[in-house]
Amino acid sequence: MELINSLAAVPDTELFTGGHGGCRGCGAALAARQAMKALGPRTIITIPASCMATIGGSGLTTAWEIPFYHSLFECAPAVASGIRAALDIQGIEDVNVVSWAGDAGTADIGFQSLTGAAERQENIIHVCYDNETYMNTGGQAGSATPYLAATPDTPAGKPTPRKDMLAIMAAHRPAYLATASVAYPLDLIQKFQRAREIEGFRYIHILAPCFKGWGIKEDQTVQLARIAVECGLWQLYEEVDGRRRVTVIPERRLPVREYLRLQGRFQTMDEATIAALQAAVDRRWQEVPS
Amino acid sequence: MAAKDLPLVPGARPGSMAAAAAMERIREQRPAIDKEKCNLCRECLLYCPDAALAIAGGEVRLELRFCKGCGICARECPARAITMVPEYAGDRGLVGEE
Repeated sequence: MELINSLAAVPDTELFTGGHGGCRGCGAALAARQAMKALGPRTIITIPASCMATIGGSGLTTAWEIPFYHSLFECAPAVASGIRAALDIQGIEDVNVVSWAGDAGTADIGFQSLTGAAERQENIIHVCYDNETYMNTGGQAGSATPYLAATPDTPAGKPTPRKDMLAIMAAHRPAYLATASVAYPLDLIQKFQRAREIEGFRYIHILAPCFKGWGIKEDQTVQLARIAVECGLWQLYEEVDGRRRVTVIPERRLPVREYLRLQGRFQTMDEATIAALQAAVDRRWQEVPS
Repeated sequence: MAAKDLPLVPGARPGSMAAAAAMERIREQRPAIDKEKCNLCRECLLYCPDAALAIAGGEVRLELRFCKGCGICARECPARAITMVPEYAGDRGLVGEE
């Protein structure tokens, strides 16, 4: 397999086309567009209730150029497991089966079928596109919502920290696990390329900002996805058989304050909390070989 | 009836949303690309959530039917070759159609 190493080598074909129903500057649509460049036309995707399930169309029109199945909220990885079984029994081997869920369809409502599929080591790729809130239903807080983020139902800031989905999924010993960000498209595309070459359960977690939920401007989606990486809060890495490799090491790490202060949802966060978060990020990066 | 004889669930045709796209209905601003400044680095192509940008004939082409006017391309362009211009300019009315 040849990894796509330059923007010029990215295929022009759009498998998630323009004309979709996403908001202006939609991070979810951006993640899908970038991922489909690596997954290619021999892909079947199943998406549970989420923004992503609705913006790609209905039964009447679609932005997908590949088979897309809109599953119930709880069961995208289970549906994907079934699709794989149906392909296997027909002897069809060259198809990527993907369940693509938001942070709710991954960490909360869809979690039981996800942990089941991971435990059975189903030969599928599960993607979590993470905007850190329940944006399709109005931005309520979920378990992936960060500490002190203001949402419609936690107006004073979420009182508890975010669930560590990467640690939970790593504990399932997947064949492949990776984080990605829409601000680093080549890194994202290469991770999908590696994932599709590996057999077994694969998990990719993409940070995909939502301007409405984060309290940013429509044109800041990519900027925030980049600063999340540059400040060290969102680490880009991959794990093959449990061995971690950090794929993007920021040359000079920005203070996490810069990331937080750009967003409307962290306005209630005080300096002491920011300092504690900075210390936690610094500790985490001490373990990374530079 | 054998399972293979059952009718398929009606599905939307691929390309139907692209064919029906008419984002001028919601767009408030559009990118103006300075072809002198553009160095064809392709950064903007993969940052557009709406696949509105492509390179054709040695320049970046904008598919206005897809563009919602979010402005990510203008913010991210390393050569600062893209600026957002309003679709509606007060008493001067609509910006010229292409």
